[in-house]
Amino acid sequence: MMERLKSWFRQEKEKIRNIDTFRAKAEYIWQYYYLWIIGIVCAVSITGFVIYRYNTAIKENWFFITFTNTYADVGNDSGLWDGFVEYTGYDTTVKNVEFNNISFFDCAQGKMAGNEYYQMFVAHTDTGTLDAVTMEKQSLEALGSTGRLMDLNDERCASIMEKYGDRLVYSVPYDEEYSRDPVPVGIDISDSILMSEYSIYPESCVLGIGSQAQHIDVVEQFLDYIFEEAK
Amino acid sequence: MKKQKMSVAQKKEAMWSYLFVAPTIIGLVVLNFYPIFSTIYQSFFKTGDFGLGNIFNGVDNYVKLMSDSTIWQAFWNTIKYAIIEVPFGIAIALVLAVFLNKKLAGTSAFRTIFFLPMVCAPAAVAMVWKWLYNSQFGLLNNIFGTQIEWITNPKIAWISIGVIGVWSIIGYNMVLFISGLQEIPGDYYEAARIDGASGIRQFFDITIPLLSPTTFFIVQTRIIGALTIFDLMFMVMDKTNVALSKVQSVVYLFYDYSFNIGDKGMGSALVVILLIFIMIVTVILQAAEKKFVYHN
Amino acid sequence: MESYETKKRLTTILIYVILFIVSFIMIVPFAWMILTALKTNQEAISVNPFYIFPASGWHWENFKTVWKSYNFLILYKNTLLMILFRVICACLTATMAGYAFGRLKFPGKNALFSLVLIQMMVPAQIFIIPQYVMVSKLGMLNTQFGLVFPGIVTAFGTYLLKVGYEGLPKDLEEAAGLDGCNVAQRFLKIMMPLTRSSMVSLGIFTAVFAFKDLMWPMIVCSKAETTTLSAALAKMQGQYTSDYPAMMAAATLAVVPMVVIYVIFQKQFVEGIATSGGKL
Repeated sequence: MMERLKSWFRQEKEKIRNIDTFRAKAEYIWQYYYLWIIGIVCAVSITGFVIYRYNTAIKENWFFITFTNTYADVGNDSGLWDGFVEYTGYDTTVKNVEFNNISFFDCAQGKMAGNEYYQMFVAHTDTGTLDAVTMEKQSLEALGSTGRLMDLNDERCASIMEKYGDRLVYSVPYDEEYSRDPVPVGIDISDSILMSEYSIYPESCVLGIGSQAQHIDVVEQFLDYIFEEAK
Repeated sequence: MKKQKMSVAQKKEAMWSYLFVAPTIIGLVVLNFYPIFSTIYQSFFKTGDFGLGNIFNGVDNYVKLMSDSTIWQAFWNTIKYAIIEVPFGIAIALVLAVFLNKKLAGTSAFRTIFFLPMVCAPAAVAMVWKWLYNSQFGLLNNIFGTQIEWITNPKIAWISIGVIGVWSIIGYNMVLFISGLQEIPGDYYEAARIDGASGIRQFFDITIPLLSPTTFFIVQTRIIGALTIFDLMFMVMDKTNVALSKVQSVVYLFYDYSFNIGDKGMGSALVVILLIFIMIVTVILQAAEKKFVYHN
Repeated sequence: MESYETKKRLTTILIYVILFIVSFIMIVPFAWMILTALKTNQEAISVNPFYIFPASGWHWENFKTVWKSYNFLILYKNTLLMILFRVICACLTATMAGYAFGRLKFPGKNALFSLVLIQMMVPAQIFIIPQYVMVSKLGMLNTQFGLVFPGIVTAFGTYLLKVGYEGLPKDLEEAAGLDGCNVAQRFLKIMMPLTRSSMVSLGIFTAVFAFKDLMWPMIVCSKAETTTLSAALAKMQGQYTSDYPAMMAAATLAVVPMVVIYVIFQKQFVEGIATSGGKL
């Protein structure tokens, strides 16, 4: 194999040397090898791009929260976002703070099949991307039954429970083996700035923590922030 | 595989073959087989909810599924759907494709029209069919002067869903048939015409046998497609529809388990059972291919 | 002779009648979509089914509202680029693999081909989450690469082109083999051009499915400037859940380029008849 490649290379080199003008040389190479040239250029540039992105892109989050069913301006770079970033002092050029307000599903109505937003929510939850989510009370109670929100009795949530333990929202799990009694899954934040200033929902607002959440301490910071501002 | 020494030419051919299939196979393994294996792996676990980790529970999920009558009903529903969609969708599309392959005026306009359902927004499709099927104001009941509950009567609903399935798949099958028809050499028809064979004769003697590889391909992919049907069910049927349990497909149930109820372990086990079922069907089909498909 | 002519004419008429009936059935939802886009909301949700045409004038401003609320030019650009890359990738990988599976002999062929079949047998929903994790680990969220990622290879296309290659006459290649062409040359110069109509239909399907794919662009490209038409429209549908005319206007704006693309591709189809039908 190697031998043949070498002899082919020698032959081609010889041929190219025998062509006199540079222009003719280039033309010869292009005519015979244009597919290879295009292929190699594409492959190299794509690989280069992937490696470049892999090394430079911000892949981690400080915090990821989804505000469902709202048209209020609470997404990235909104006033809320600016305030929170300033409050916590996180450097957003190192890791992201994601405020996602493009999500529309209502578990209370039970029409979840084929809802892409819900699938997206599940993907974010199951991969541990999602830290927290807000909804109206009824919807969150329905969502809580699926087990996609963290049980606030979990020891990881101890310090949140200590501060906000008087605002719990419960739901009964579908999974009877887990518990037959209601499990605390949400924290009522109807009197925070989310409602008073941004009025994201008409009636009530509850926050839940994703079952695979990685940044529970930041959820606590977020709660502190939205209540402190409300005062 | 017989152990025989390969000649140099054969070795060369094999080397080129591996080079040719490499991108596809590597891509499939990374993009699809890794997820498939992780699904199989997950099917042996009880999904940990509320922040609890997954718990190994062996074949418990499978045992639970096998003893659940809803699953068997869903399998039966899926098979019934396939029985409507596959033959009708293919037969109608074949006839249309043959018509459109003739040199008639306006064929390209018709081709575009038949293609429209494929690009139409699913929301529009669902709205129109719901309106057609509406038991009080629906067009169908108004035309026929009937009072049939097309999608809420459990005995009829599966047929109504099947009709939508046929409707939405015709364009797809037709595009494939047209491309298959174009690969039939025109000389054959020329010769048949000189012999005085009628259009119908030509259809059965030339088109059907020469098109059989394409037909088999469509049959195979449509059977797989029909057995993994999902979106039709939720598009037209509401969650409160009484006929839902007689219509919901296996993948719909999988979706319900994995997404709505949050029990991924059960959902994964269901996918594995479905996969085994489809593999059995495919093996039978591949055996049938040798008998029915004409290779030149 | 006389009766033959009349018979032929009758058949033609019959064919046209069937074609017209079927096209009517096919075109209804599409027409419905456009008509709804031109109604007021009141008319759109009216229960009276015979309220087909907009009663209070044609409301073209629905289109205006939707057009203004999004930067459609960027959306069209993103969508077209995604479709283009996916079609190129799919055709390239599928035609190579299809040729090997359809025409060449090599150990392990059946085992490898069964991988292709198995991919089609599992519901697509199980792929999304693992693929999302891959893209996000690569740092490819919100890029064109991320959008194209799951469409780099296609099991369906590989199978389709395998069938296409199998259908070609055997002697074609043998003649070329004697001329001292190697496998790659045979493939590029003789076989590939002959499966053009299969490639065109693969291109059409890839384009349609890429275009209709909602979930993937939504999850991978959350930013407005990188996402695609269908994903942006889904957001709009969330926004206008009760505003059917706006929803349908948005859907119409999304479908139009698809139909245009099909009409363009279709010409290739017809040319395909001339080349493969005439010469073989």
